[in-house]
Amino acid sequence: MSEFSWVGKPHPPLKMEGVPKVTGEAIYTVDVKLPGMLVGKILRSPHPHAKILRIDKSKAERLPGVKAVLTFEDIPKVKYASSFRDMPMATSGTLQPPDQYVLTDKARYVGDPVAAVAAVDEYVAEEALKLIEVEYEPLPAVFTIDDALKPDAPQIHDHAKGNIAAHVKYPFAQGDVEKGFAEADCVVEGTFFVPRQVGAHLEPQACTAYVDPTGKVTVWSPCQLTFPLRRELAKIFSLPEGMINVVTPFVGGSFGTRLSLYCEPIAIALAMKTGKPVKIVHSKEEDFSTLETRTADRVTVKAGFKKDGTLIAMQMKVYTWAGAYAARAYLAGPILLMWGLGHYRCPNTDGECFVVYTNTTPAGAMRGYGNPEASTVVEQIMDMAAEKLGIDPVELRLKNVKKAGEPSNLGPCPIESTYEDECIRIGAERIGWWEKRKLKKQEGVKRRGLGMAAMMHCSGAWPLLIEHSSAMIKFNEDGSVNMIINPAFPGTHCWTTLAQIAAEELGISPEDVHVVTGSTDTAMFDLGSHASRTTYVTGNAVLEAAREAKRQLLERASKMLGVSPEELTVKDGRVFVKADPSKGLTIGEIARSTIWDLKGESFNISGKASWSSRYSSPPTGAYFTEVEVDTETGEVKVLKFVVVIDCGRVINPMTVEGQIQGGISQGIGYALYEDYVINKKTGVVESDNFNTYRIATNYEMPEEIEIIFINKPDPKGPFGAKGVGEPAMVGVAAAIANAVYDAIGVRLRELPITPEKILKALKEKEKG
Amino acid sequence: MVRVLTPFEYFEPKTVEEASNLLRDYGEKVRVLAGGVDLLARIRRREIQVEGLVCIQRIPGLDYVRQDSEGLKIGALTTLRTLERSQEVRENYRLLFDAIHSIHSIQVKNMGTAVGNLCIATPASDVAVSLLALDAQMKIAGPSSERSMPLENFYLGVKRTALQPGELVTGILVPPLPKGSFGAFMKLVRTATDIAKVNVAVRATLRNGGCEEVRIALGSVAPTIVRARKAEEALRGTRLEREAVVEAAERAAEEVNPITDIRSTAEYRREMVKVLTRRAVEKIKVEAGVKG
Repeated sequence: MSEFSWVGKPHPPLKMEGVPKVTGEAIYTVDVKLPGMLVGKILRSPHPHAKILRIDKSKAERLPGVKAVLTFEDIPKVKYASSFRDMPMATSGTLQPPDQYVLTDKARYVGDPVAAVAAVDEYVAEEALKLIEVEYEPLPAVFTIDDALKPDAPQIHDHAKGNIAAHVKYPFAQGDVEKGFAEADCVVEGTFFVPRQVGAHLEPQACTAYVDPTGKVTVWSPCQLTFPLRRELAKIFSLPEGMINVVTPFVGGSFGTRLSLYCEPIAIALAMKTGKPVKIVHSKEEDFSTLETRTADRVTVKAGFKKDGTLIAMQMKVYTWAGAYAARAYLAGPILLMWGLGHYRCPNTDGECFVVYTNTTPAGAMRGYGNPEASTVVEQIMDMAAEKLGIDPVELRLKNVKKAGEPSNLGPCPIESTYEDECIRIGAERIGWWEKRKLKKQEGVKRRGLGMAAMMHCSGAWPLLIEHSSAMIKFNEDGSVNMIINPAFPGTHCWTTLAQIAAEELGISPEDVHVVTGSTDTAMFDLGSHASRTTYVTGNAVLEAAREAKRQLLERASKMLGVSPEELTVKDGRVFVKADPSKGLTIGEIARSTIWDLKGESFNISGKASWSSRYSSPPTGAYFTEVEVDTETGEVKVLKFVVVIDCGRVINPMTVEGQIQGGISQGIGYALYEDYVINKKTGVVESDNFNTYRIATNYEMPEEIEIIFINKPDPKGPFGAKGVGEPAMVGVAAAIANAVYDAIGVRLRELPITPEKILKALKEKEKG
Repeated sequence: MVRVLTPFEYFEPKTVEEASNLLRDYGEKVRVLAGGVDLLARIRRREIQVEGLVCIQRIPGLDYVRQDSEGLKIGALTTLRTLERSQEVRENYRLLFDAIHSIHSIQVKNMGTAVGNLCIATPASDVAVSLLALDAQMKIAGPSSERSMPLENFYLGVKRTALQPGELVTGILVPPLPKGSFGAFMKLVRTATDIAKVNVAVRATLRNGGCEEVRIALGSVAPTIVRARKAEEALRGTRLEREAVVEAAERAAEEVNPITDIRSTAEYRREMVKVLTRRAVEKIKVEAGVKG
């Protein structure tokens, strides 16, 4: 018997979270409708790099049905940072400089917003866009890291000489790498290219803004970081934070893309100008062409080992392909160094990252924030080293994984718990690692291979960022509670998980936790949903708030029952005396008589808490896969995946399993299919919709998936939980890349591993 | 990066004749709307400009699939999903079934019609490639007359058909298959629900172990779907020996004219014509029990 009523048990989504989605009645930002609402549309630059010499909006303004046309001249000339310029950093050094205007007078990529209209409907709005006359002076443009770094390359920003947006040294370097390499028995080195990846969520980017007669701004947005968004908007429009309310309805997927700010300030400016609510909804082409993608990076790694496999030196050099604005590439690139150099124990480490501006779509965050990129490179280097050393890849990793108490990957904060070694051992056994590798034959048209990757991630970004969340819980007369929280809800079913945490502590059912959420005016501060932190950080705030509410509940009950609070406990909606369970009251009875107290001692039993995380409890795991490569067509079929995950105590196995399956799917897409194609001459994004940009579907999923939880509590997570959302995909691509090598003996140093690339590589191998 | 459809006139003729007259009167400015899968997406993306749509969905008697002595008959409004679920197609025209079944998006198959799929004249059509190998005939109605045309002559170029002003396709006829017919459909895709990078349909008539007749149809490797005639010659009259099959595959690869686009490269496509042609014939050999 479990000691818990709800924690650790599979729980379907709360009715309020699941039912509206299944019936199609859930309100997303794209569904928001307000009386008198206008449609906003954005005129985007067709040039990758151009000065705007003249804009004439008079014709557009005269079109019947057009209510406002804005250009850079009508918008506060305030530079902003799409990734929120002063998201408070606990460690310093890599803040994104504000480098972007809401509407620009110099276009820096195809799709850069240059003007906007508000009109009575979409047709008029689109017609109006055509009537805006813009005279551009096209400038030479650069689309790749190499071109942007050439000495005579056009300068994209005045502040960034040589198009270097940032040059960051690995802040946690240790020892002396040169000495380490000199002492190494075996040194491996390789340069890899990891590509962009699109969030590809279903709900398009959208925003509705309304300014009431007092000047209070309400913004409906799918942004994952609602409070930081409010802060940045306040700066752009010189408003106090309290005059802006950011409302987050259901979010139709985010995957990190929605960590940043997009059309929100344009919608607000149009609403301010017209006095009407204005809604902007991106087309899918706009989504694919203008939302931040995962960064692409060119990564060189050098690693030195002793004969017995001990890693003693590691060096990384990263060129991060940022787009026209630094955006989250500014952080994702440098953090790639931390994931890569901080995963395994190593006494001598060193690294640097150049974030390079180009005239392309801004790049930034996506699920894993640099870790799938780092993993793809470092886990392949580990396999290359294993081969050279003559050590099994499994053994090589076991030799070098960190233990609890050692410094975490994100800096000096110690690892609270890790069972990475256990994950690796169990995974190897479940996939039949040793037997299958012994039996393997490198012949025939279809060849099979096994691959693995080990993983360490984070539960929230402390100590890199502040990790602050809050929660309020109040009892209703019926014994249910309202839980007021505000991370964004991008489909991870975190309401359910957080309700399970509250319900466990309060002795009620999760369905009796009514979640109240979705606005910065209603809820206390929450940084948002990112960095696999919602269960870990918001969960701790919820637990603290529940403890306080429970304390008040028991105190009140003790007065009613005439016993001390210590003698009481609560379970299944009832407070009772531990020694005599027949003596008790339902929570409803207590709550009701507390709210409606005829003696005049009324109050509302409630708890509130803020949680400021000071810990790093990295989730760890291992991914094992078996693939089959058709050597005539180059096609790769993923046959099986075994994922062993240490995400602390699993609160809801159902949602965690869902995360991992989704992570496998997204990882397979990253490894094999997803290709963000930018035209080399025009800078236009060619893969601008789902027909051209292919993501994996059910058909690409392996037939066999085995997911195993270590399920050991972490000392700091709520009920021992750690994060899992991003870890679900971190090592997937690396494991596939290693398996492809195992199958055909050719290592492709660039994702996606397409059939075309495989055949080319096989031919080159034949030629020798 | 546009989103809305441009305004257009909308017609709902009740007869083929009425539809045909509209098409004749408005010419290039109007398009026929059946399932709309490809058409509406292309209008939205401004790849084509239309001033009007002639919706044929209200014309009775165009949604059928039946088999009689003349062969398999398919109406202009018959969806891919209807064909996939038809017992006649599944049992007697397996090559067509396999091609439709390889289209993994059920939503597309529910919306899209077989005739519409042929009329958009994409060289990547799985359905067109299999119907070409099956010697399908197009039934065409004009303002004053009807005519029939082999599918093979139907395509003039990328997205161009032999339809004259005022003409529309009302159905497809797939002739009865001779005894000893075997077929194989194969394709390569980026992901299962994507359009083919390369597809191939092979149909052979085998008698006493010898290849009496053969069709090799290829898609996505030229401006239109194509027949690999030289490759067919290499097989006709042989016993499908290994050398003949390899020779046919080599010839097929020489006969195509692929391009590089977002889905694949010209080089890869040409190479895959060779591999798929060989594999398709080998599959037929296995099914027919031909040795060697």
